[in-house]
Order: sequence, then C-alpha cells, then structure tokens
Amino acid sequence: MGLTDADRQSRLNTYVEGLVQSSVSLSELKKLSGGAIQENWALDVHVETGKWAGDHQWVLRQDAVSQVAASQGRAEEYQLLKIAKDAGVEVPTPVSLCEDDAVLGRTFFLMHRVQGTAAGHVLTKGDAKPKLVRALAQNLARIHSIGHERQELLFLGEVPSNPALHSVAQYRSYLDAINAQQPAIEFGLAWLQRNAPETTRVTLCHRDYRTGNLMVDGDKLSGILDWEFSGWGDPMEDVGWICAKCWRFRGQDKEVGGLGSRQDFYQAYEQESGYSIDPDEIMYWEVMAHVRWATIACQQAARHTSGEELSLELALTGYVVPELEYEILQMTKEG
Amino acid sequence: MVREVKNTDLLSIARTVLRDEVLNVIPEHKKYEALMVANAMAIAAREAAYGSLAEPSNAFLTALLLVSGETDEPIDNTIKKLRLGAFDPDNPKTITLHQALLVEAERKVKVSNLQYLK
Repeated sequence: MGLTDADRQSRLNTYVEGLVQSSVSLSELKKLSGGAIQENWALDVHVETGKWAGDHQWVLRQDAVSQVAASQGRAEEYQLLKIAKDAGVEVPTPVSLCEDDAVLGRTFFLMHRVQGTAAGHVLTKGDAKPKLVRALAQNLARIHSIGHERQELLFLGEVPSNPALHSVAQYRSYLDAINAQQPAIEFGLAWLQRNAPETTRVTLCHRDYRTGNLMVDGDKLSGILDWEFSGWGDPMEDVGWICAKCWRFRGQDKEVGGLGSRQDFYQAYEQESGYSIDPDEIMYWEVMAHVRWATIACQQAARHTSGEELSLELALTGYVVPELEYEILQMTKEG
Repeated sequence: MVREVKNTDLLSIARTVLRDEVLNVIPEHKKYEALMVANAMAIAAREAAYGSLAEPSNAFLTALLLVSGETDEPIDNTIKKLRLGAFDPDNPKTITLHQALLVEAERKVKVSNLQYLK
C-alpha cells in the first residue's frame, strides 16, 4: 500500500477514532483473496464508547495500483453501494468513505464484512440451489429498478441510446488502446454489431453480476460485491452475463452462474420486475459477455506484459482468451 | 544412450515436485499462488511442446491472406474488413474465415487449457 505496516495501522487508527468519536483498537489488516483490480482488506474494530461501541467486522476497499478502463473509483462505488442498499439490494452496508490521500495514500472506503464465500469453485459444486438463484434474480431486478433520472448517479455519464452498439465501439477502442490484434474477438464484435437489439429500457446495470462476486452464506445470498463496472445499460446485459458459460465454474450444467436453472431465474426476475425475458435476447448478451470478458482478459494481460504491474494472476488471465474465442465462434456460427 | 533433459521434461518434473511435495507444506494463504505457479508451469510446458500462443500458425495466416484478399498484414487487414462489415453472412468468405478462426482457437485452447475441449 506504499506505507509501512506500522504507518498504515497508525493512520488508520486515527481515522477510525475520528469517525466513531472514541478510542478504538484495530486488528491488523489482512488482505482478502480475489480482486485483480481492487484491494480488499479485512479489519476488525473494537470501539470503546459512544454510539459505535462494540465489535465490528469491516472490509477496507481500496484501488489497486493500476486500473482497467471503465472501472469506477472508490468514491463512486461507495455511492453505488448506498443507492443499492436503499433500493433493497443485498449489499454490504457502507460505513465510511475516505478521500483524503494523506490517510492511506489512495481513496478507500469501509463497509461491513458479510459472511459466507464468493469462491466460484466452491459455490458451483453439488446440486442446484434454486432458492439462491431466485434471490439472485430478485436482487438483480431491484438493481434494474434504479433509473437514470437519479441525480446522485450523474457520475455514471451519458445514457447510451443503444447500449449494445455503444459496447461494441467501446470494446474496439479498448483493444486498440493496447494494440491487441484479436481477429476472433473482432469476429464476435462484427456479429454483435449486425445483430444489436433495439433497447427500450435503460437502467442501472451492475455489469459484473456473476458467481465470484456474490457472497453466499449456506444457500442464502449475503452480499453483492464489486460494483466497479456499474453503469447505464440494457438490463438484459446483466442477465446474459450471469448466464454465460464462462461464469459457471464447476457447474456447467447449471446455466445460471453454475448455480441453477434459467427457468427459476427468469421466473423470479419477471415476477419481481414486471418485465418479461426474451431468451433470444439473452443469447445475444451471452455472446457479448464472452466478447467483453475476452477484451478485459486482454487488458489484464497487457497490464502485466507492459510492465505496468507484474503479476502472475494477470499473466494467467491472458490464457483465458483462447477458450473465450472458442465459445464466441461456437455461438456466432451462421449459415 | 542417455538423452538430455528437455525443457518440457524439466517443467514437468518441477511441477510434480511443486504439486506433490511443496503444496502440502506451505501455509494455506499461499496455496492459491502455488496453484497458479503449477498452472503456469503446465501451460509453459505445453507451449514448449506445441508452439507459442503469441505466434499464429502459418495455416491460419495463410487462410487470412486468402479471405482478406490482401498480400500482407493478414491479421490487421482481416480486422479492418471485419470492422467495415465486409464479412456478413452473405459473403461466402465468411464461412471460410469462421472455420479458420475456429481451428486456430482450438489449437490455442489445447495449449492454454487442455481440459476445456474434453
């Protein structure tokens, strides 16, 4: 984090004492797994007196050293968490945002630490989890109830008139920015351009709503994480993302995130949102999901190969691209 | 005659030692990294045996030259034409291009993730 452990701990202690208006004792920060883009640290806090008195289990979330394009900053992600919480979405309760770089060198926020696991390989083992799948659909519908009239979300930028074509242009520009020559991904992008649907509903989209970013405790959804890619879009993009084959881990036969059936998910979504789901449209967004993930994987690998951030995890992410290309080509076979 | 150890042999035995002897004794919080190292070694061994993923196959480049109708820069020119919408479903070359891309993708998947196509 650019500071010695002792400095960091001392500054954080001062910050938390100011926040809760009490003397506190903090555990050492313990880095949590996952997060190629952000750093997440577990933090246990004991507050001596006042309205915060007692023990708290928090997560400190901070930007990693380098970013990928389209990723929201921590201040924006904090705002998204608050708005999602108000809309009834199951998210970790946000605690505090610190934009003073003098504290830890970069903006960070604190949020409650929710119980459970997000590990895809663990969650997708075993039988289908219909209750969890329905909860995922209901929560996604609540996210999609957040419209672009919200003034607090102006930072998300302009509302695209055609989100699909907007994404196609964006992903081409991302590939160009890293000089990536990826003809299979480009074949997918050309297909997506030709087949782009007319979008009639543009809402807040999580844009990384998938197994791996969902905390699950037993068979209960305990928190939707990683809001850094959120933006205005076609809500069916989120449905395609969680149904895409590339996010099923060990549960390839369970088409919603390796967790359960499309029927359970679609029905629960339709009931909660009042909007129907067109399976053909979801298939389109599943192609988009593979193209998008392949583009992001190229960006991640480029962070390593450019020397910007040497990392085995980033380097290995580049090796996901061939299987994504294979799926893109399987789905775009014509004639 | 004893043959020399090849780079693929070396990676293979190193990975076996890592997996069978080291992985069990390292702390839990470092196991993810160790598994990534084992995976990286397996990929590197397959690249050494079957060719680098960074280099497209000659057959693929030849196919792109044919479908792009250009005499050089086959990947760059194919991408340019894809962006211009030249390969729509009515173009007979689109099927040829799709097939060439698929064969190349399969070749790469066999190196990057051997289990994927099984």
